[in-house]
This record gives sequence, C-alpha cells and structure tokens, in this order.
Amino acid sequence: MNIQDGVFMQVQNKFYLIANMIQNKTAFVSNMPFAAANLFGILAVGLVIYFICLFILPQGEKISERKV
Amino acid sequence: MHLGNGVVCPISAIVMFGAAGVGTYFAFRGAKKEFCKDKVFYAITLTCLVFALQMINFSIPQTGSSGHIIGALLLCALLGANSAFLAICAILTIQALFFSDGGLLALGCNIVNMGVMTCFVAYPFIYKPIEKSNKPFLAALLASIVALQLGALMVVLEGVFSGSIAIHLTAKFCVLMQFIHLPIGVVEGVFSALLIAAAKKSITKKCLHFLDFLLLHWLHLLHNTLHKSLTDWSGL
Repeated sequence: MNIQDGVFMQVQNKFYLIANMIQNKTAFVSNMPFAAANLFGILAVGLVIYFICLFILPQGEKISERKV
Repeated sequence: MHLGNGVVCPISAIVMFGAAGVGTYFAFRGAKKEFCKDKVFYAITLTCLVFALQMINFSIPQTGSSGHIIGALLLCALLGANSAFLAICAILTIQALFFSDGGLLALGCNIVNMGVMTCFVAYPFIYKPIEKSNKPFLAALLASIVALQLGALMVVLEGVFSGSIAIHLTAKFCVLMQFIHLPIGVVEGVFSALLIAAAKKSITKKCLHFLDFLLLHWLHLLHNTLHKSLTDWSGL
C-alpha cells in the first residue's frame, strides 16, 4: 500500500497545473497598462470590501441608512 | 513576500489554507462584534489606498531585490485587527487572481505570512502595549519590523517543509530573507506611523469623510444606473 514517489510527484504536478491554468485564465489584468490595471484592482478591492462589510454588519444595520 | 505556486508543495498549501481559513473565521466573528456602518466607507477607502500602495515597489540596495509595504499594520491601527485581516485577505486574493502576484496554491501561505503575522501577532503583542505607553511612532516601527521578520521566517519554514529550500541552506536563506526584509520593515514602520498620525488629525478625518461622501454618491449613481439598465433590459 506504499505510495511511490512518482505518484506523489504526479499529484503535485497536477495541483501546480490546475493553479497555473486558473491564474492564466483570470490574470488578464496583468496584460493591461499599469494605470488601468491599478484602477481595476482598486475598484475590485473596493467592491469586495463593500460586500464583506454588508456581510459583517450587525443585523438590522444598513449602509443606506448612514447619514453623511 | 508573495510566494508563487512552485515554492510550496500541495500538503503545505492545504495546511496553510486551513490556517488562513481558521483566521478568516475568527476575523469574521470578531469583525461582526466591532464593526459598525459608519466604518464601511472608511474601510473601503483605506483598503483601496493600501492596495495602491502595494503596487509601488522600491529597490533594496546591495541585494538586487525590491520590496513594497504591506500596509496591514496601518489597517489594524485604523480599523481594528479583525477588519484589517479581512481587508488583507481581499487584497491578496485579488492580487493572486487578477494580477498573478503570488500563486493561487500559495494564497494560504501569503495570507498567513502577511495577514496573520501582522494582525494577530505583531499588532496585539507589540503595537498595542507600546502604543498604550504613548509612543505611537516606536510602536508602529517595531511592530512593522517584527511582522516583516516573522513573515520572512515563515517563508523560509514553508520553503523548507515543501522541499523547495535545501535543509543545509536553511540558515543562509533565513539570514538573507531577514536582511532583505529589515529595510522594508523600517520603511513600512515609518510610513505607517506617519499615516496613522495623519489619520488621527481632524483635517485628515474631514478629507476622508469627504472621500467617503464622494464614494457613497458614486455607488448610489452606479446602483441607479445598473437598476435602470436592468429594468430596461427586462422590459419591466
């Protein structure tokens, strides 16, 4: 029942391949000009934090109720 | 400090993903208790600022490498450790997915190295006690240096456990990593201390509230436009 090194290496390579494949598909921003990529990243981070905030706000509190 | 896919083995990656997951769970629980709606746009503005700051690299003389600040301590001091950890997780995930900055397989490692070490080790055990004795500059400087050094140590340990760093080279690599991250820690410490001091001044608070105000109105506009286009599209 011993797992041979070759099998382990194959599994490991599969992991690397899958991770690289996903990143190759999603990392389209790295081909964009620096300023545009930066702006995209800032907007993406802002949106993610906005949704995290919606999730972590105590029950009953709504962002739209905020008085500016 | 962003580790790539090839540096960590799947077992280390899974273990570190588990550690990052536990950290995220406790951060969510903690943030639910300490967060309030007035902090939302402040958190968004600060996280976007830290993301933009992370894009600026500076070269480290004599080493041939470059570094950038992490900004986790800045977020901790202004938002609290739990919210800061969630913000760092969001930044690192966006960087890995869209910018290929750090591997997807090593995302757990990167979250632990940069997020956990700063938010749950350096901030509560170094920054807070020193800051209480009315030395905020020293607190930020020391906490940043310790956080970076711990992160660099974790990188070495992860590399050794994954087999990407030979055991007989561990000590040499460790010294090199600590040496490279020392100036980054100093720069980050000074920068964080200045920004924390500035953020606590009333004029900066007013500027941030103005930015919040602009962001809020922009989001309302976006929401209304999206709603209108969706309504037009569905014909309702």
